[in-house]
Amino acid sequence: MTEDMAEISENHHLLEVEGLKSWYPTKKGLLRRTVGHVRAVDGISFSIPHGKTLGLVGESGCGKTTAARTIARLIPATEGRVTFDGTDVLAAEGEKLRKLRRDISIVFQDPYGSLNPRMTVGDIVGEPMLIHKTAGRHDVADRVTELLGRVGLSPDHINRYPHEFSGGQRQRIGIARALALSPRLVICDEPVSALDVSIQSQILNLLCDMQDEFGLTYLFIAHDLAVVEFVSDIVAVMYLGRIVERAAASELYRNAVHPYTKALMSAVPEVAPEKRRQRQSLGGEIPSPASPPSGCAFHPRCPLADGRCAELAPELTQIGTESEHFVACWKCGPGPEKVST
Amino acid sequence: MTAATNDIILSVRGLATHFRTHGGTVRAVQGVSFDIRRGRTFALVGESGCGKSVTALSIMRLIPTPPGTIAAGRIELHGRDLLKVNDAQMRSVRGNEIAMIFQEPMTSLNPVFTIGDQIVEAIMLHQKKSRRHAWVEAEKLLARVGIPDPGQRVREYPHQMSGGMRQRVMIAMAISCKPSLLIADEPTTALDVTTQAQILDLLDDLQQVEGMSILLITHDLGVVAERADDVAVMYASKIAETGATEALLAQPLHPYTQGLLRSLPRMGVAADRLAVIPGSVPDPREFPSGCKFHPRCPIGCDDPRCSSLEPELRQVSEGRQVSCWYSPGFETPEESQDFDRRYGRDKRKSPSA
Amino acid sequence: MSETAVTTPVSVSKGRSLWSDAVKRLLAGRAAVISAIVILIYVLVTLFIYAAEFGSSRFGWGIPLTNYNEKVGSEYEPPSWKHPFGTDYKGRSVLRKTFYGARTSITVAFLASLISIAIGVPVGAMAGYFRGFVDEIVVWLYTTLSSIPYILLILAFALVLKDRSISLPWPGAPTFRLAGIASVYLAMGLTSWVGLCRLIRGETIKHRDREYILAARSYGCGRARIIFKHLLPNVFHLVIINFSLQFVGFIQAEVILSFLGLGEKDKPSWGAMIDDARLTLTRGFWWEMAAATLAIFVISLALNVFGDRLRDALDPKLRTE
Repeated sequence: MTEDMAEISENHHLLEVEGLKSWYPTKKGLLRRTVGHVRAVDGISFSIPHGKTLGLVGESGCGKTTAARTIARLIPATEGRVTFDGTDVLAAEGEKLRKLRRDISIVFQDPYGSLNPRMTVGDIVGEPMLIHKTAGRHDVADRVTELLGRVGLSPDHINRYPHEFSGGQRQRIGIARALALSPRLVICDEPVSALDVSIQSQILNLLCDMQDEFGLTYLFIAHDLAVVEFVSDIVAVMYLGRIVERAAASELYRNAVHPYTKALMSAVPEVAPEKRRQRQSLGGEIPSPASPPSGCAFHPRCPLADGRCAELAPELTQIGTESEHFVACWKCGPGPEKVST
Repeated sequence: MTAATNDIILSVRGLATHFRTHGGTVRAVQGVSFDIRRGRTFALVGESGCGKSVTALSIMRLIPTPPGTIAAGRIELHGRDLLKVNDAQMRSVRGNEIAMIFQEPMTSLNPVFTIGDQIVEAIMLHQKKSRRHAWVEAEKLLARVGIPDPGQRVREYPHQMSGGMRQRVMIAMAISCKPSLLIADEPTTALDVTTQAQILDLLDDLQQVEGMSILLITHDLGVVAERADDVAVMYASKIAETGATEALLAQPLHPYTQGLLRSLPRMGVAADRLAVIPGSVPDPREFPSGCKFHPRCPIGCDDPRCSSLEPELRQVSEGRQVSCWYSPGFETPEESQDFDRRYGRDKRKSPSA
Repeated sequence: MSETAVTTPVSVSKGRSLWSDAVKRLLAGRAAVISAIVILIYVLVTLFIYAAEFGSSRFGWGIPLTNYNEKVGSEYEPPSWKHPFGTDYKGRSVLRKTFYGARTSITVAFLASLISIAIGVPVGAMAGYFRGFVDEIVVWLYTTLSSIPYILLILAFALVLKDRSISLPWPGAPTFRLAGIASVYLAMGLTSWVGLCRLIRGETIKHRDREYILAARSYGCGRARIIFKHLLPNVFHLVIINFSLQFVGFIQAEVILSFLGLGEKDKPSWGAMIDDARLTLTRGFWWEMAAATLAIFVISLALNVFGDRLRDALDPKLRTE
């Protein structure tokens, strides 16, 4: 799962996101005038090379799920550009949009809510194929059976209903559905967060196997840092709608630079005593995306913040010259020595 | 975590809680026994359906009694069996000597009353204070749990606060009567990891200052490792093993615990694949025969004894109890001979490392 | 042991849908079964009468039960073994009239329900799914409609539709003359879709943001398909519950309408029976009123009980978990 960043940057990037914003107007008063905006996603940029995994990690309100759904064209974007294999995702219509629906698929978080309780497993996994006519009514059952086998379910599950399965099995069904149209990019929106611990590793292994077998590219959203590190080649940390740090997975976990990233990592409870980090406790709470702080969104809670941080939001800039390690911070921007955690 | 005296404040012996459903009797908790010492944190860890929450609710006697019954056991708080007291006495225990906080602060707080109202109610139920005094006390409690600007907050409604803030309010209500035991049922599962750290720090701090014991229910082994002094691992309504946290996590004796620890992704540890516990948690209505873990166990899955005879919880060394036939020191020589006689020497598995 | 081995699903039977679960739960209770039987009896009587009428008009069968107009005894005979409910002012068997009344009531209520479902469900689903402008129009419409007193509204519709003819929009198409009874069920159907529409709209709003709907959109499912194939089956339990409970309302509304002089004049109906009996009650002739009232009471009770049990069987457990 972990590879040298230099090799990655040479490959063509399957998904490119530039300056993506998703703002929701808040309306007040009798005339429903727009008084402000909820800045769910406030300008994020990243790209994912073919066959690699980018992990988007952050706490609640950081906008990772909104970003995922915007990229998947499920909710509208306010600004920005998303390019998938050369196609403009946000502007696609008609046949182009149909093709995107085949090329990009999603695995959802809730194994109980993401499957229609009134449809059989066969219907659930087969419907995408019927809609896009990649299988006819007669051979769809065979294709579905094949997919079910690949994700570890048996063929005679095809006529059963979702409520007859456990959480882990339902997630497998969801993965089978996501693979039904032979996608190239799979967006995994917290796929294991709702599962029991002993099942998580099964599903994570399955996702990795599917990636190897089908040459998939993943956008992996999670809040669990350990899970994200295991799965991802590149990790981007989000806070209040923006990316604060982005680097190769191994690089990030060894040499995190942004104060938020460091605090986040130190807060994760660790089983092995020798792995525990110095706790950098973070005072205060995550502000609401409806009224984000001025300048750098993190400055009210940041131990390093100064006047400039309160006024001007820093851009993602590259640290050092070799590693593709980007940080959005005035205090630890390009040039500082690598701070080891 | 604190250095502690060896005073046992809560002793649970052989607790069994059943639920009557149209599909049969669900034995949610069977034969659960553990002790909680003064000033220490005891963690009950396990996955969904293992019975840890039901155990906590049984201690508080909050199990809904038409479908549920506490079928057996003794729960001794300061020597008094809580399962034998009447309702009025139990009500005076709840909130006063034992307090509980839950996972979802939004649904645990009444949305139509202010925070202050709810804390005041908790105070006035158990203490002889005037309403005015209780309000003052409420503000002090909010400050104690680290809520900024308590004078303002005390007049607010639950929906005006964030999840972390609401959990602090729950904790304030819980400690208002200085209970000797605080039961925290997944208190941080619904919170972000940074907020989780804050809340757990708060609980640690309260424990240090007030000498309160904590029964921490969780599924997160990392939380257990960092915060609990003692731990019991539950699986499918029974305790798999128990012991001091550090010792247990460093050297787990039960295959389930071993499997769990191996399958966790770890930060800073590169891996191509994660170890896996095959299969899934059994449905409480259809528990396997014999050892409930055996279908998923690397040792017991084709062992004739594990699939027919359920091991009980036994002490195998100082402070360590486990329920597994193949745990070192578990089976008696007689049992060993009996096995060889019945099934043959070759069927015997070797215990895992 | 294979890592991907999964234990078998909890249920051993094949493809146990949520509907079959609900039916099993429903029929496990005695009250539900008894009320279902009662309802079935009324429906069978209705069908029998239709069959008998058809038979006598085509094949000349003479089934006494349907011959309500036959003079079987003298006027106002009290209940006896020969005439269990006595006779009316024309000497006709009240028992036969009561059975006939069932046919009227059940037919009207059923057709009214169909109309109300046919309007309420699609409108509610579209309002709930599309929100925005469509939703605002629909909400305005049903809010206005439901603010008008129900009885007045039905009366107005019934009076307007009475004795009308409807011709289909294309030239040369046949013209239908509205029978008296049609004005009743049309009026009821056209005014009472509101309640169901509200329910469906609310439930649709709840479901449209669920992840399985998002999933369907993500693989390119069109809007119509989402509404009809994904959303409606998940809100349909409301239709069923609403059907059984609204049925009672329709039966009683029909009674009131016949009471007020609308509806079928020539065939007996419970409302007309009560209307007739109203005047003679002072003379001590109670049996016609009693028969009609009893018939209404029994079917209303059965429908209410069944509707309640239905709601219990369908509603809470019908969620995914």
